[in-house]
Amino acid sequence: MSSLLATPAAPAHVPCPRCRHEVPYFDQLNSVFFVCPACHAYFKAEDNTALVMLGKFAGDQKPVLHPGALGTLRGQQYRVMGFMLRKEKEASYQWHEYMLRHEETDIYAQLAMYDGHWMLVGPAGRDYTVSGQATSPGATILDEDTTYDIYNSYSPDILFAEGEFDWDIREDSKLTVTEYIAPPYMLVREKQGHQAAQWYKGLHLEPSEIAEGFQVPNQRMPFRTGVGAIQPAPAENWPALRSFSLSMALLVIITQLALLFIKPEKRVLRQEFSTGRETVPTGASVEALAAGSNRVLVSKSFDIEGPAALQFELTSSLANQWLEVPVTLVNERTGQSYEFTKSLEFYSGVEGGESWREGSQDQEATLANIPTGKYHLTLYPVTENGQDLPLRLGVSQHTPLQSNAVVLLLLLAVYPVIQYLRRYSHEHTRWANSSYGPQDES
Amino acid sequence: MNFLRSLLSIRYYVLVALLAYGVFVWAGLRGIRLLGDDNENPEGTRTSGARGGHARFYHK
Repeated sequence: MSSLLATPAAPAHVPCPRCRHEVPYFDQLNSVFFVCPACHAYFKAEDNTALVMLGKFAGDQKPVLHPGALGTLRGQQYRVMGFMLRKEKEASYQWHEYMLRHEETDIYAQLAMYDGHWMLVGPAGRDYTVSGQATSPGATILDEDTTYDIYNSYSPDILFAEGEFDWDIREDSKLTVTEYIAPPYMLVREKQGHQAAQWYKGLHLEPSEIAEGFQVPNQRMPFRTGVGAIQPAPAENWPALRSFSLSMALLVIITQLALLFIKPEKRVLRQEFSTGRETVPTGASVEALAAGSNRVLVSKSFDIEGPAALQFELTSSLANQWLEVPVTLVNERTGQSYEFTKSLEFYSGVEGGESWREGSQDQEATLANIPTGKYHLTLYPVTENGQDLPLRLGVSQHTPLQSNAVVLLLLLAVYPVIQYLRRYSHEHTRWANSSYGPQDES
Repeated sequence: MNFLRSLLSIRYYVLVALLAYGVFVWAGLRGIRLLGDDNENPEGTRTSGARGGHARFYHK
């Protein structure tokens, strides 16, 4: 059921001085200014006999809420008394304003709608102190723990109106309206000349609250675009998310440091080899020799206190040479083996007057989760034409697995970063409609 | 207390984060690298003492 259909019969009527249409109205005590729904004439009626024609609004508008409609917002019942289409004098921004009357207290409030974003505004009931010049960039209001930042300052023009009003709405064009925001709230300062400023407080409302409160079908609700001035940013749990994720990051770093003390890194083997060929090829090594392989090298035995991660460092002295080293770690009691292969190559020279170098003379490898036991290494080096090259090998146990901490920190950061970017984009879009945004301060 | 109450709004993230932290501590104590290690013999089969061949190195 639309709000139009929900409009009950008005308790009183006043004749339009232009077309004699009987204009319905609800506030017999306060309403003095009226707009005829038939001819859009704007007139004043102190009583039904003293009618003063003040003007006429051109065109036609289709308000979402019609004057007389009754609805509920945040548990409070309001009646729509009037509708205005307003615009900023110095800009093209246009918005709807609906005058609401609280059905129990008779206090007036406004429902403002811009680009499908709704805001309920009522008298603040107090004054506020602005830090800085009230309409200048950087002006703020500190209210308890909340800081309101200046968002907009303008004088309004009335383009169209409907319904009844208790003041001459044309006078509003003399106002300087300044808005300060702390989503989902807004403070509105209305100032005319040297008169004292009037303060109002606004609250963001979701379109669904208007649709449900005034029984407006969804297809009649204006499409929401962009970001509203006081539309709450996404991820309202951001403070908790930020605090928790930073705490977790700190915990990960502390844990990683603690692991260095709980399982200190220890060198278990350092040995140097020479990768020459076997002098007398025998058995299976004949085939290996044919492929350019060198002699098989076996390291000294060493003990591992597991479970542990082992770090292997292979270093050679290469001059435009390469060295491939398949390595097998063998548990001497169980025979369980672990294998990896590393290739070292290093080339350098001078070309076109510029020196260049490529490759590396050392390589590292990691074997993880190695059980306690006595181990040795078997190496099967391969060099070009079986060259005899030096090979230094170092083995450490409990090597710090920094990559684990990095992986976890990145994993923990994914969700907060996404939420941060959403909020950043939201705020950037919000302030794009303001001439007081951070991007306008430079 | 307020901080703990605020965590209710991100309880799924908290659960995933604590689970991941548990895995991190377990991996740290066991010497396990989460991105995997260089072991080419994950089955840990017994070695025969002689390799039956290895990757051929192709020089440029």
